[in-house]
Amino acid sequence: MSTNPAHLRRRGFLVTAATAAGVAALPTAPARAAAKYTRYDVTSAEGQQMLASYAKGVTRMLALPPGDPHNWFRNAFVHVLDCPHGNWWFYVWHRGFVGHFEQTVRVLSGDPNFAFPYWDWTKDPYVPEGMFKGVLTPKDAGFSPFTKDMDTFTKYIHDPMLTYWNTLNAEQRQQMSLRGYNSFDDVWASVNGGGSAEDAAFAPTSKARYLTAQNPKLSPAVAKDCAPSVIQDGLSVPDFYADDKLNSFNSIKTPSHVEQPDGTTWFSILEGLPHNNVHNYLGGVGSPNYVPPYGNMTNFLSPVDPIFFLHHANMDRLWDVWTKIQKAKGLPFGPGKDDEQAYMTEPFRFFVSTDGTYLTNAKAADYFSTDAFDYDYSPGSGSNLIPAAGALVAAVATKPPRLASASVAGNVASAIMPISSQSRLIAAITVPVPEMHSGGRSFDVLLNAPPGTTQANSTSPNFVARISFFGPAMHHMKMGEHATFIVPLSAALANLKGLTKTAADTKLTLTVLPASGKSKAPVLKEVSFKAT
Amino acid sequence: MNTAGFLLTGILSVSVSAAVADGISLTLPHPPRDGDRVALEIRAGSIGHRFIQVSTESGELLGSISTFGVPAGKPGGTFLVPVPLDAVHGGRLDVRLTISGSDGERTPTAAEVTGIRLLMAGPPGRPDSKPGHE
Repeated sequence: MSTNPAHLRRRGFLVTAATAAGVAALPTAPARAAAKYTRYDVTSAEGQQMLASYAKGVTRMLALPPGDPHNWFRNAFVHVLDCPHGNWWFYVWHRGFVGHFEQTVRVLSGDPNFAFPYWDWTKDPYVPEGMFKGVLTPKDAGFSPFTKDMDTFTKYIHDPMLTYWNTLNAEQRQQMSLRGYNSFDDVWASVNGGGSAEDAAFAPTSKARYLTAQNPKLSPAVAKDCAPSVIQDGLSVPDFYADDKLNSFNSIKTPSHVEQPDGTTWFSILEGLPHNNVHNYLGGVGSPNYVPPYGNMTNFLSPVDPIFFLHHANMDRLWDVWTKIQKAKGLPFGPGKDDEQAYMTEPFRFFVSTDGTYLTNAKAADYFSTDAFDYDYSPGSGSNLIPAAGALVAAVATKPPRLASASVAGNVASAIMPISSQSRLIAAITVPVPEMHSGGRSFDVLLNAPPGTTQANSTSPNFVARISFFGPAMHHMKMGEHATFIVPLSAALANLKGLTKTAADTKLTLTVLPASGKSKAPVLKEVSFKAT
Repeated sequence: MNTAGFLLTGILSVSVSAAVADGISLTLPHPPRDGDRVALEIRAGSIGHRFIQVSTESGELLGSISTFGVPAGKPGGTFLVPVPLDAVHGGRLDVRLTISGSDGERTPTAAEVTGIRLLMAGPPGRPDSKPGHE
């Protein structure tokens, strides 16, 4: 880690602040002095000045030998080895990655005020014009000596990277193993795709980026995923992390940040939509001009494209906006008490400091606040959602729901509970998962059907809904024994006679019948009702 | 009773290929109220460098999903696509899915979209923003 006393003091403060934030989320965190550095909208005059400095820094880094940890491509390999995606360390790791790199650009560009400008793709759904000039596009001739083709890139950087790999300590190797990199050959296979151009992280200079100065726009579909409504939805979540996805600012909690996403992964709105789709579209996914292979931005070597850092500055800005919204509303802005230790102590072992030192013992807590690098953002999309100082958000009082567990007999479930003509009613119906080749995968649900009913009619006033299992049963997949369906009953309730405006005990009977007359009725495991 | 389950609202469709071709109809326990948040939860299988577009029956694009950082051949994970409240009619949302890539556009297979649900929650700060409430 840095031996700069000021840096250490700041880091010491950060750990304390992060702990407080985790516990709470204490919204009464003291106001901080103005940040030393500002990350501006790239289209602003200040942003344009930053681009000029950025280009100087890129030029210097391209000129460094591949054995130098500040070499342009070596920095991209930090991302290859260590980046988290589709988990709850996505934001904090990238804050550290971009922050350390920003400090390096500040030194190498000779601009002591340098800070990455951000690309506000919500406001400007096109690649900023300046990113097509000189070394700010990976298709520039300045990249050709290194990325002309796979052979050129291999000769240039394979051996220096292998040399670095051989210096990794046991803790770093353990993380690499978790990532699926048990040897350097595994790493290189992700670079060259193991012979498959479609799967290669490397992109030759001519294919490095698909959007051009003549055609800089994101597609309407990708622009839609960056639209103000999507950003607002992504920012309008109450929790830093929640198992219920709709309330979580971050993606899924995983045991380690280095695990790569797979079928168990779930993405938060902002990571899953604008983050992923901007990355991919710049690299040719969905581009009408796509001819294999894909460009840099589609994969873990994406920091080879200089626009990576403007894209991630915007993602980081959105995290900052969300944090400010939470603070202004008096809501938690960090992991909950039970999660704090696991989140904050996660080790990040591959960052590089400004002086070229490998930071093998950094932690998530070090980067939880923008204080880590002493920067702030000029206002951008979403900033308008931050409540003005002193504004209070009133909680709306609601009556607690009424719940009832039904008694179950075969395919019929009954319960008595207070219901009024104004009630909203839903049922949770747990049925066995149909076995393969069993035929019946769809069932009809009836409310208060006459006793003995054996066939459903969708036009009947007792008909509620059809519930079905999704997709074919797969013999190689483990399926749960039972599945629960949530079924709204309010529409059918409106057809029940005798209900008054005042809640009174009412008998509710659910009957579940096979949608196909040839199938058997299910034996219900559990049924419960909820009324509000 | 698993009250947490009440946040996971939606009725699953018959089969992916048939459902996608004909449109998918998903139902909320009640029509959304002002401030409610609604989103489609889509589970993607192995889709490689393809992307899945989600539109309403009337053709309004709701969003697209594509994977990033997923090793070749692995499932893509689960994504949330926000749904504007005016796209929900009478508590029901009808959607169509298409998958696009260098090989053109078509309906996704059951292996490419392995699940879809409609989720709803109240606005942050309101008690029903948490599981256990409609």
